[in-house]
Amino acid sequence: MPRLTAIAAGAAVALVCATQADPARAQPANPDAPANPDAPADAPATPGAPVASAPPAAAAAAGENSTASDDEIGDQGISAQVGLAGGGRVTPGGARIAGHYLYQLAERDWFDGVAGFTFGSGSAACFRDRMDQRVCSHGLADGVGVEVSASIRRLFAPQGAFRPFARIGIGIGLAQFSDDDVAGLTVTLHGAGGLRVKVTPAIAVVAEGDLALGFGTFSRGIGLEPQIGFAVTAGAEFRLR
Amino acid sequence: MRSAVVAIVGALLACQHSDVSREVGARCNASAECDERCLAPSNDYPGGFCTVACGSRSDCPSDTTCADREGGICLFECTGDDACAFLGVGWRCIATDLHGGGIKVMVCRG
Repeated sequence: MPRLTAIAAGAAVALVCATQADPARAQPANPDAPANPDAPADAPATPGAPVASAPPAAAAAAGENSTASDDEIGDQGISAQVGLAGGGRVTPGGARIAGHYLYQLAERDWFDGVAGFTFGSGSAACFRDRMDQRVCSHGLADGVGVEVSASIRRLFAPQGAFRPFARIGIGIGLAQFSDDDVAGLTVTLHGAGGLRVKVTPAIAVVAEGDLALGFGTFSRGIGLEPQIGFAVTAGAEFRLR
Repeated sequence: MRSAVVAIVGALLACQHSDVSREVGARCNASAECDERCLAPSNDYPGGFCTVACGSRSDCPSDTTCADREGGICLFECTGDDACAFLGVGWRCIATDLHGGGIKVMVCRG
């Protein structure tokens, strides 16, 4: 597990570093913003001065950024999604409702704060094994869970009407299995990917799949247990600013 | 990267494996700890034993058979005492009547 944590942490750091290292991504999202606000807009060109022309590659990059900004989420956005979550053992699964808050960090990267709720059955599935250790074998759709997570979402270049994205993050949550009277605190790493389709300038439809890996500490002598879950959700995303 | 993730997921799944369940085999003191029925701790069932009632062998989960005890209950099949060691101290492989079968079967009991 430490290796996975290191991999995820490395990926997160690399993403943040890549964002900071690329000045083009740090430009304001507003395409109308002047490149140099200190320069007078009506300043005449200096006679005889060489005319700087943008290299083709830079022009192409500017064009790509312009396209990328056309259906951007905006500086801030919110999203409501519903779907299904699969768990097992002591990972809750069932119906999933999630709310997202998005805050733009760079040209293609957003902070994605998620509050997710999972509602599964409460049926009992814990028992004492022959070593007198309490273990649980819940199914895919058992338990109730609530989790908040912080992620970085990166939007990729549009593929026709679809805008793919990927998200990595870390979450902390509570899980409960009522008929077993078992509850626990969980910490999970999230890796997600999805598609975004703009419906109006301020509204988009979003669908994503999320894989969660981590650990939780549970009551009634169960102790530390792994968390392995996935979720598939879809919903609407609204631009705030 | 991919192999590391696969290995980690496999290890996480493997470390949760158990030979017994709430249906058959778990330790218990009361029926609330089992899906159906608890055979309370005794010399016959050391540590207690979760099981289900049966009328024939086909009513029992895999690796178990319908023993003619307590009105018909599912117990683990075995070929020798070693096969019952996973149930703990005091469990042995003993010939017992098959419920409704008129023959003897080897099952784990205390």
